[in-house]
Amino acid sequence: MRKIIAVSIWLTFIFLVATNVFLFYSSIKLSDGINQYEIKIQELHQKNINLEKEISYFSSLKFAQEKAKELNFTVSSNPVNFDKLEYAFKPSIQ
Amino acid sequence: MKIKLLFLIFILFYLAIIVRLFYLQVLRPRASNNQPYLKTEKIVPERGKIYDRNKNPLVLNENSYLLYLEPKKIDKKSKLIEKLSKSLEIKEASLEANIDDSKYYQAIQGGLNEEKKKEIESFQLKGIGFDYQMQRFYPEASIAAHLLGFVGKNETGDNLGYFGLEGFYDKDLKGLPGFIESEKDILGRPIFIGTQEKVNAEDGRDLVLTIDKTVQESSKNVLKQGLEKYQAKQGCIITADPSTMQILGLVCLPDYDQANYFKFSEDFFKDPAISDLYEPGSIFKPLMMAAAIEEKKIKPTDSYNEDGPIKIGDYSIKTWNDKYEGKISITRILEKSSNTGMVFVGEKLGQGNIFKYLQKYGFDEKTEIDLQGEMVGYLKPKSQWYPIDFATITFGQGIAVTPIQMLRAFTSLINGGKLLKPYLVQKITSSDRENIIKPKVERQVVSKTTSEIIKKMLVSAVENGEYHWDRPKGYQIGGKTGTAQVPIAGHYDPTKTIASFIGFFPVDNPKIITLVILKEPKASPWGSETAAPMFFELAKQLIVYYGMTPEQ
Repeated sequence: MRKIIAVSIWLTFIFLVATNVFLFYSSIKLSDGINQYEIKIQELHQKNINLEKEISYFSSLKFAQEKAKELNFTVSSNPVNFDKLEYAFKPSIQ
Repeated sequence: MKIKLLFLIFILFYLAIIVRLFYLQVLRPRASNNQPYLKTEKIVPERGKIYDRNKNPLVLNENSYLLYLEPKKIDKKSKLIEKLSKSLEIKEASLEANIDDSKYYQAIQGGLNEEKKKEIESFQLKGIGFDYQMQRFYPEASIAAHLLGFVGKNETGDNLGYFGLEGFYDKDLKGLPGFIESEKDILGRPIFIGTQEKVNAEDGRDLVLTIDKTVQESSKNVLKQGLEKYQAKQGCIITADPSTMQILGLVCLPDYDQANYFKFSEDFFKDPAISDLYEPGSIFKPLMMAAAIEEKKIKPTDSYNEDGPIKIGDYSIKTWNDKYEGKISITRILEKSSNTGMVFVGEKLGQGNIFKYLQKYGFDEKTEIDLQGEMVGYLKPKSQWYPIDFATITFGQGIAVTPIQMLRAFTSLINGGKLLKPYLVQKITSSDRENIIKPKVERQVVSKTTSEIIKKMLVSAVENGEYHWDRPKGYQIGGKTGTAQVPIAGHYDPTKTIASFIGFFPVDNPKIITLVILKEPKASPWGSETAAPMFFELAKQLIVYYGMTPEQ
């Protein structure tokens, strides 16, 4: 009987130590996970900001002007207005 | 004996642990900054962005970094100084003088972009670090510098909007900071079973403007060319939708580069469109004419005998060219911009009515436009007015107004008589809410009938005026020129003028009203020869942009 009790105490002790080690290890893993996700979120946010900046630059009038200069499109064309507006409409097919 | 000694050691050991725990948990406050494991960090919110009416970005944020040094960790000081001074373009001597070896942290330079950060990191020097920051980015450069304002720092080093929209909407744009309270181990990792509290920051609200970036860009180009061509000191172009008083474009030159605002003097930051006072001159005449028609003191079919200068006390009022046409119609008074004709209109209207209408047009109050730094015009108390003041006010002298006040008052003449509040932000958006700002009618100034009459007179003023401009063919445009002399030390300087033109189109249902002002143009002092051609050049571009079909 005494032997059984002694073995049980030892087993419980080993189980508690193992659980403790497991919990300690898990908490460190989780902490690392939290850290990594936070860093990733920050990186994504910064990438988003960079992409938004690039998109806005390529759709800006400033960029269009630079390209127009490069391609020699520097003379603005005047609109052509019809004297008779009906010319602009497509005749209906009979 | 040995067992007892071991027992005593254990007891002492446990007692030591209990005393230490008691000290840490009870005697020392838990949330103290001295806690070695509990760290609190501020989460800085992202400042709100600013878009034009078509959701094109005008102001965004970009990543930037603050370079700092940890002098105690530096091992190769001379190499660090040499490399940093080259990279940051700072003189070696001043960088060396700035490094204080007794300090743990020293900020060196903010606003560094990612390329610069990578370049400095590649030096692989000890004692260098970077703090992440965000700064404003302007995709269209300084397309609307006065309008947008800039972001600087306050006395505690936090971001603060100055001037324009950044200043006016600072509270909406800056958002609310959050914080992270976290217990961390010796390696800086969060302790999972410890305190972990996070309150997210609330990013600033975005602004959607009434500004159209194409109108803004066209206005800026026309103004830039106009300033060079007419050698003017300063100029402004303001364009609005007369039915709502939404501002479509607002530009004044010279302006400044918002990204490098610290390189400019404070004089450049003030927006002349809302902060500068000037005498409006002849563009004021239609306001008085409309008041007289509204009060039924004159009719468009009436006539006036323009037979020479008018004497008021010691003063003599002449026409701008000292030429007199005899019997002319009321419409002709505006067409030829007759000062003596306007004195006649003013006499018919009466002193009480003149003052009443100046107040109705809002010249004694701010327009309450949503920009920081608006000034109110100068309208002296009625008790201080002399008869000559009531005469000169009819042609826009003896009163000081801001360009935005002038535009608002004139708009009421062509939109059915409504005096509207001018505004620039039509929508304020956050992640969960959208606040739409609607036009606000302040009061009815003149009736719809008067408005229609004055519109026709203004079309006639453009078509039959003293000067023939290169107008867009097939379109009816109404407008009025103005040339005001600049008062200096109690008298008017004939060599210095403020030339202006205010015009609108299409006439039946105006969609565009534009005010062009040039300060002290040297090529010609007249509004008809400087500001008016600029207006028609802009009108041609806007007609194409908005796809307006010819009316005639």
